[in-house]
Amino acid sequence: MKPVITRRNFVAGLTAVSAGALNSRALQVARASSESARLDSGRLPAQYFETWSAEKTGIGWKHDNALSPERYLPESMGPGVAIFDYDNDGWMDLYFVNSGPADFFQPAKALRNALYRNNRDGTFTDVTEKAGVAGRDFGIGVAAADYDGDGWTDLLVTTYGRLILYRNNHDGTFTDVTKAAGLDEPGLFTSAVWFDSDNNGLLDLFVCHFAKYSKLLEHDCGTNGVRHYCYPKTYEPWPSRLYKNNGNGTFADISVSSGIAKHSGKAFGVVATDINNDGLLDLFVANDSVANFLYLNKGGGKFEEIGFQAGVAYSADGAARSGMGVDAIDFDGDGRQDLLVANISRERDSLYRNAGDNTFVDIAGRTGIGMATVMDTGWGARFADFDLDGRPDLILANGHPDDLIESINNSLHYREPLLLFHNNGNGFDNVSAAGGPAFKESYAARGLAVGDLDNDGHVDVVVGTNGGPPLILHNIVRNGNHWIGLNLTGLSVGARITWSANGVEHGIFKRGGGSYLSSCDPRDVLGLGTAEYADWIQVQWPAAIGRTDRFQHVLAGKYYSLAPGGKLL
Amino acid sequence: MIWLLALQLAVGPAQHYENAKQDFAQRKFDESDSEVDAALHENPYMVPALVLKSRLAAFAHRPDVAKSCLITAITADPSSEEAQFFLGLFYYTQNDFKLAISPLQAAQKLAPKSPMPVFYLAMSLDALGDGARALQLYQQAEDLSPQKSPQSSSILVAYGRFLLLQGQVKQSIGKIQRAIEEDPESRDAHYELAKGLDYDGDFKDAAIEGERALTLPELGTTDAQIHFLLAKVYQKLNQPDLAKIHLEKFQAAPQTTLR
Repeated sequence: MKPVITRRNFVAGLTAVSAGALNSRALQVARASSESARLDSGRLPAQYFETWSAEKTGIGWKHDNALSPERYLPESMGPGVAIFDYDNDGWMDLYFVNSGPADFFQPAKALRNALYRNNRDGTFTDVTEKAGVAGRDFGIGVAAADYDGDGWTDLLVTTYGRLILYRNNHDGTFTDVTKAAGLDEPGLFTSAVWFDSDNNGLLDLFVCHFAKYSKLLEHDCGTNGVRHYCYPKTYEPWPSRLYKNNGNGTFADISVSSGIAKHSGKAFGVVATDINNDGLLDLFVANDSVANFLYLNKGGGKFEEIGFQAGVAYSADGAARSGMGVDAIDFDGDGRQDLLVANISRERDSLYRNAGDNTFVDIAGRTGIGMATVMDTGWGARFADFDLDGRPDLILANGHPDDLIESINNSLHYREPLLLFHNNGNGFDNVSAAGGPAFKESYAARGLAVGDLDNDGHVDVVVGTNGGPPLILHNIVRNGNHWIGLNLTGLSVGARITWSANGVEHGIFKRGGGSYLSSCDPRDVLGLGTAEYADWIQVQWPAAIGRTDRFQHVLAGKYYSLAPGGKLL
Repeated sequence: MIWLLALQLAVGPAQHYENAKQDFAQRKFDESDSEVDAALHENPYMVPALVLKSRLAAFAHRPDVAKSCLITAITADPSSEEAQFFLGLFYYTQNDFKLAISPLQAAQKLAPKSPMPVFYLAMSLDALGDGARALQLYQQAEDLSPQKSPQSSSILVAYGRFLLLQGQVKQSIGKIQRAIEEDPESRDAHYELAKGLDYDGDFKDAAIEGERALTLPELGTTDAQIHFLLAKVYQKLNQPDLAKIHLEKFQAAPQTTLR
């Protein structure tokens, strides 16, 4: 097949080369443009996202990172963001996590998390006070899910301080039920994931714990008398937590009995997926400066850590990397869940292809992701089908943790650009130059969540920035591709959705968690390419439900709700 | 009398510098430092002495002194390929890859037949994520390097490592095999070959190369790295006892990080 270079590809490549003065990104884009032209017959979008400003959205909230001359570690971590529907009106609302009082920080004026209700017109209204979800401690991350199965989404906020569990009251308000739930635990918590660890139909909770930490354990990591954030190697690793849902609003800490607490790490990101297709959800945990963990679910509430054996613990040279964000997806359509870790600059991100025998091979280099990420520090990371071609693309939020890095290294930057990769079916093309205006800027980006903010079937992106306002990226890809939205009600993490469009089969495994500190739209958008309907859609529900539903000839262009055994509504 | 004094001054620093060079080659760093200081006392802008002083300072973990000497040297003689190269090398070792590029390019222009400026340019661009240019420069460095030398072996090892990181496994193995031909005692080369063979699914030969690497003197590649690789390879060869031995040795070593 001869390469087809469209005028758009040619101009994009030419612009990239001239604007970038032959820098690496420009060359990659130029190359990516021609390769994509060959693989996608010129259907690569000219621009993926526009930026929705604070003036447009009405989102005036900003993250306060509590930056101090002493550079206390938690200052550099947040914030997380959540895209979820708190009032069940079918529109995604937004939640942002902020810093707050801690042993090293007493804010001059009260800081608060923020809940914004979606007004269904691209604007949002701050409903934090009414909802009662302002937070209390030094907030870091968030994980949204309906843990009590009442059909309303609840919120877990992770902090440096104590966890917060907000139960949804079904009336636009929440109640802090942390103590009653048995989750009133102190620590330095980062990402969290809700998932059914034992296939009993209830959502359990895994919470990443970073190092053993307090103000008194902080170090002076200075250069020429100026303090920097310490390299995490200086802190003592600590085990993460697994809480079993008792089904009565309370949780039991099973970290020890499950085997999770046997391993001390510095956990930043977690994703729940099924690496061996045995119907049990496994956990992949990215650690900073120590080996990553892959907890294989053995059933019966037991986990075995197999990171080394699986080949995902260390670099190829046996060095622990600084892993932050994670995600899991079957990016190559072979039916097996692959893993991604966003690492710090110079370490390159890892894309682990699942070899099918509980082992993985890092193919970041071969796919182009390795070289494209060598200069950036990745945090938020999410696969999503931004162009509705049925294949998951990838977006990465970057930013160096040390705000003073430029004073000690001329090659690195505190604020870094976002990165966007198009899945061409055979790997990834760096299409950041076509990402839109936001991709030409640099940010101290951290949490990242994806979701459809305007219910148009195109996946949007929300990025939390450390010490700054959130970034709202509205997907403007209009390439003629069609879509079907699917909202699985009830227990859905662990479900396997497959569909066929134009005779081509695609699939999504509904993982839990992923990215960094953040929570994504729980609905799935199925890309159909040019097809105006899906030949069929099949939902294999999680093992606890144990049934499969299948539907023929499903029309594109709308969201459907589906309960186990129900109809597409 | 004045001409005699001038002659002594002219000869003096040169002799001190020669002594310093010899001491440096014999790894007598203290003596070398004294001699080079004497040379620079008499001629503060003697470029070769400034370069040597910078190398001694780098050994003594005094990057401030090393950098200062090299900048003085280049100010005195911008056409010194040696000073330009070592300034680039200095920035490279400090992970300041962007700053490394300009002096390395200058050195490359001043000595277009020398492989080392090109080689470090390749590694700098590799570190900066510019894979396309790094690839060209690695090839250029290979083409320029003399045959059958440890230097050309080192270039081939780095080139092979770069190719492996790009997922070009077969090409990587080819470069590393040539590196071993040129320097059969290179631990780095045997280790990198083992890595490539592991990626390629040839676990048996990967184990052989890894074991060979372990027998060679430790300069760059550490024992822990090799134990890590061998633990993986023996696991794939379904030899759990050997895998366990190497894993325990890997775990017993201080854990390394890339940062």
